[in-house]
Order: sequence, then structure tokens, then C-alpha cells
Amino acid sequence: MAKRVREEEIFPRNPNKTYGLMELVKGSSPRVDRGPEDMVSAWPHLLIREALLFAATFLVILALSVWCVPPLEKQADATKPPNPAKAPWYFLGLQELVSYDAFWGGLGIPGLVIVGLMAIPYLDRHHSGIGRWFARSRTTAVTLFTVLFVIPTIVLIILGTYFRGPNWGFYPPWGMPVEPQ
Amino acid sequence: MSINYEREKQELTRRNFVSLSGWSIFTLGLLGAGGLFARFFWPNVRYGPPSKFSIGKPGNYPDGAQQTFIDQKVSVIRHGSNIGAISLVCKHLGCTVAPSATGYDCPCHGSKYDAIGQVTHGPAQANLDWFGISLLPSGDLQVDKSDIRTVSAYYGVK
Amino acid sequence: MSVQTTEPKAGPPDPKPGIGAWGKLSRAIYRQAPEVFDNLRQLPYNLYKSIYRTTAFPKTERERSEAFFNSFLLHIQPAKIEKHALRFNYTFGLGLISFYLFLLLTVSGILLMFFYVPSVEQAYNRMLDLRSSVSYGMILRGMHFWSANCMIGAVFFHMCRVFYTGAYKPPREFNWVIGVLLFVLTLVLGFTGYLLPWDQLAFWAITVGANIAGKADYVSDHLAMIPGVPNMHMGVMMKNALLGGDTVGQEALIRFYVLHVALLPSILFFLIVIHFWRIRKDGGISSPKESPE
Ligand code: HEM
Ligand code: FES
Repeated sequence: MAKRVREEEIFPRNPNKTYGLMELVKGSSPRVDRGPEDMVSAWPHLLIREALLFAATFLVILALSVWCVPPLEKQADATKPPNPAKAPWYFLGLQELVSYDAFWGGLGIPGLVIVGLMAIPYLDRHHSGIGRWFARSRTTAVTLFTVLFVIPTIVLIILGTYFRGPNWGFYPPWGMPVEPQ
Repeated sequence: MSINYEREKQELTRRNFVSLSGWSIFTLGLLGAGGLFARFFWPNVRYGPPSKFSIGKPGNYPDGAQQTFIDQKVSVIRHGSNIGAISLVCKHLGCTVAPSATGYDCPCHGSKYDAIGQVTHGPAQANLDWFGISLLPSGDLQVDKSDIRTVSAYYGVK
Repeated sequence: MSVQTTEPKAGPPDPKPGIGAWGKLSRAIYRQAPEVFDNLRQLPYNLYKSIYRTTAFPKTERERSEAFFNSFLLHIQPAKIEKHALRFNYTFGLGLISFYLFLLLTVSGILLMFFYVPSVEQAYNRMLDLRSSVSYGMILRGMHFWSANCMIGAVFFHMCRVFYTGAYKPPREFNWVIGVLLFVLTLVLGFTGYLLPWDQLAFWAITVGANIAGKADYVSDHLAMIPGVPNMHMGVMMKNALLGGDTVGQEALIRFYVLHVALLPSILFFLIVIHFWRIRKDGGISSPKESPE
């Protein structure tokens, strides 16, 4: 170290601030290199938002539970499967797949999807477009994720929920046969 | 700003090797213990109706008859002098199939079977099971659901 | 912030020298009385101070930071936060909503446990009782039901937002992996909870689900084609372990119950804690400042 920089140049002290630069560290945390100017106190800015969000969530759930009573069918009867027998809505996409092939639909494809999802951040590591929705530089990634994961998930669930009737037959929602009880 | 990912090279020194082996043994031990607890979940005793049940005298079944024993999930059929017991558990994912004009239909995902349980329409990929039948000394027929047979495993009666 | 202390004041002179133990005691009380009186006057403040270590109405930047450092529940969060992270249309609060729904599920779930009995004879009747003979029983069940359904949606959309904002890139890879586990666990919790009402929907959904697990036989059947490899019947094993038998019955109900009310929520909570810890360690939530553009 030939030249000693004066300490005050690196660590200027501003008497109006409660914080200051204390040390330079090497690291990959985004806090490094970032000026403190666009930071705000978590109290009250974060806290008030969190409280409001909780109130909103709670009210929506309360309203739903007062006005929309959850379903309860007849008592379980191992001899009479309802027709069609449907899983909860979030598994209807899976059930739709299962109706094509039990192993691949129920275990093979879902297993691959989970492994694939976990692999994403190890395959796509380029530091571009972080912190922005649908960044232009990530069009390929965004398209792949949407076409391979998001759309199939939603479409399969809608298919299974609204387009499948007795004997898991395909019916449009407006032409759904009513099951004779 | 740039982020620097340095990959440090790890050397396998003797000391590292000993510590690595130590941890491997530790992990193996834990896995073994985990295996024991996993075995704990595998039932040794099944609760449920007994697998053998009586279906009455052969004479109760005229030629061409089909009768459903819904509690046992078994359908008994007679063709000529042959009696067969067909499982009503769908080979797709285990719903209970219902007798229909063409044989048996599954309400869950639409599998169809013909009158002797051969699959005619997917997603099921196998035929319905048949069960072994035997004659009891009392003259009654007995179906044994633990004795799994394939299609057309009839029992001949006079 | 300095804590006020009161010097024990010297009391007025003793009225008259007492006799024996009673005299000593009355004299001691007389001398200490002013201090106790002072303490009583300060009780609310001291009580507050003993529980919560910072002022309730922080005004300066320093007090505001201290409010976070000094509270167990708040210190999980940073005292200073980037403005960008607060923008609602960046996160839509979806992660936090998922967490809140988890809390609501825990509370309503514990309350439901006071009435529910995991037995095939009783379970369904208990659900009917909730409707007919428990005060606010239906609202309670409704809260559990709707929180569960909404949580699955919230977690899914949270995952989408994390993807579409590129928030999984280094150094947040592992938090994304934990996230995928959280997603799967949330679904499994939904699956196990679905059996508990023991109605037709429940019974047949779980029958089908358990038989899907049974299809893992496909793997072991193929492995068994390699010479020397025994057929492990993986599917049958998994199905039996899940149901405790061949079909959905009492054994399956008690297994699903324990998974649903104890094991899975504990694992989920543990992973959520790690998820939050990683957000802090990875430098708060993602920000556009992290990309080169
Ligand atoms: C039980 C479910 C979950 C809970 C309670 C939860 C909670 C949270 C919270 C509160 C945040 C802070 C930012 C925000 O609100 O968006 C967050 C961020 C994050 N979550 Fe989750 N999460 C869950 C599931 C998931 C899933 C399924 C994924 C992805 C597969 C995921 C990946 C991430 C990542 C990578 C971040 C950092 C985002 C950033 O830095 O911008 N989480 N999570
Ligand atoms: S269980 Fe019969 S078709 Fe799926």
C-alpha cells in the first residue's frame, strides 16, 4: 500500500445523519454499493402497510366465510362413488392428466415439473432484469415459464373443473348433464 | 455493480478425508434410523372386512345372471355352467365401477369394461381382477378376494 | 431514554418508639411507604418498559430503528428498507398474504381441533355439529376452508411474481428452492385436510389420490427388468404407508389427521422461517439496482 488515503475521504462524517459509512467490505450483498438515500424507516412505512394488508386479508376471509358456506356432501360411502368423482379444484389439473395416463399424469409429469422448477435458478443465472416485471431482456425466460408452466396449470384446472362431467366425459359448462340422484 | 462469485478450490487433505468419512458414517447412521421409522409406517395388520365371503348356493344364479355384492365390491356372473367373481375396483385408480348395459363403467375418469371385465375404453390399462371361487362343505360357494385371478377364471358347477 | 429512579425519601420521624416485633414492623412500613407509593404511581410506565424496551411512539430516526431492533417480532425485519421494496405493484403483497393466511389457518385449525374427532364413526357428525350446535361453528369452518383455498392461489401467484421479476437469480437461488418446497407442502396440506370431513368428496378424492401414489409401481416394475433387481412394488408400499391399509378407512383417517394438524404444519412453519431469514441474508427483496442495465 503505497498511498494512504485519508480516512475522512473514505468515511466522511455527516453530523446530520444517524448513520455513516463504517467499513468497506467485499461481498455480494446488494446492500454494498448502495447509497442509503432511497431507504426509508421500516417504522412506520413498512409496518403500516403490513398492518393494512393483514386487515384486508382478514376481512376478505371473514366475508367469504360468512357468505359462502363451504360444501359438505353426504357421508362417505365406499360403495357409491359420486359421478364424476372430483378432487379439490387445485388437483383437478392433475386429475385431468391422470385421466390420460395414471403413472405419467399423476407422478411422472408432476415430479418432472417440481424438479424443473427447482432447477430454474441454477440454469438461468444471468443478472439482467432483476426487480422489474417482464423485463425486456428476459423475454425468452418469461415466455417459456408462461407457456410451459403457468398456462398449462391454469388451463388444465379450468378444464377439469368446468368441462368434465359424468364418467369424466367432456361437456361444455352450459351443456353439463345433471346427475340423477 | 458487479457480483463476484469466487469458486474456491477444495483440497482433499488427509484431515478433510477423515472428517468427511466421519460425517458420512454419521449420516449413514441417521439414514438407518430414519429407515427404521419409515418401516414403522408400513402396516403389518390390515383392518377391514375378511377377504373370504359366501355367495350362497350355485342354484341361486340362473344362466346369464349378474349379481352385485356391493359391500365386498364383487360382481358374480353365471354363463352356462360357469360362475365367475369379478372385482368392482377400477384398475385405473380404484373407484368402484358400476354395472351398465355394456358391462362395467367407472364414474371417476371414464374407464369402461365389457361384461367379463375386459377393458374397452381407457384410461384404465388392465382388465378387472377375477377372484377364486371354491365350494364349501355346506354346498355354498365362497369367493376369496386374496386369490386374484385373470379374466375368465370361471368355477364350473354341474 | 433514561429510566427515572426515585431516591427513597427519609420519612418523617417515628411517631413513637414501638415495642417488640410489632413495633419494628410498623416502623419499617411507615418508613418505606412513600417509596412504594411512588412505585405504584409509576407502575403503568414501568410495566410497559419491562415488556417493551422502546418508546411506543418513536419519533426520531434512531428511536424508529430501535423499535425494530428491540422487539422480538419486529427484529426479523430490517429497520431500514428500500423504497422500491414497499411498492405494492412490485410484490402485490402476495408472499405476506400467504403468510397471513397460514396464520389464520393455524388459529382456525386449532379451534376446530377442539370439536373434531378423527374417527370414521364420528368425523362426519362432528362436521354436522359444527353447523348446528357450535356457536359460530360454520364461520370457523369457513375461515379454515377459505384461507386454505386462497392460500393455494396466493402461493401460486407469489411464485409467478417471483419468476416474472427475476427475483430467483443469484444470490436467491436457494430461497426459490425453499419456495418450491413450500408450494408442494401447501398442496399436500390441502390434500390431507380434504379427507377429514369424511364426506363423499373427501373419501373419493383421497381414494383416487392414494391410488396415484400406487402407480409408482411403474418405476419398480421397470427396474425389476434389470437382471438381479428384485421388484420392490414401490407403489403398493407407498400407498400402504399413506393409508395404513389397502383402502381408505380408519387407519387412513388417523394418519391424515396427524399429518395435517401436526407434522406438515410444523415443517411448513420451519421452512417459512428459513424463507424469511434468507430474504434478510440475501439483502432484502430484489431490486432493479441489482441488474447491470
Ligand atoms: C407458504 C408459502 C410462502 C410464503 C408464506 C412466502 C413468503 C414470502 C414473503 C413474505 C416474501 C417477501 C416478498 C413478498 O411478499 O413477495 C417472499 C419472497 C420470496 N419468495 Fe416466498 N413465500 C412462499 C412461497 C414461495 C414460493 C412457492 C416461491 C417460489 C417457488 C417463493 C420464492 C420466493 C423468493 C425467491 C423470494 C424473494 C423475492 C425477492 O427477493 O423479490 N416463495 N416470500
Ligand atoms: S378410477 Fe376408474 S377411471 Fe379412474
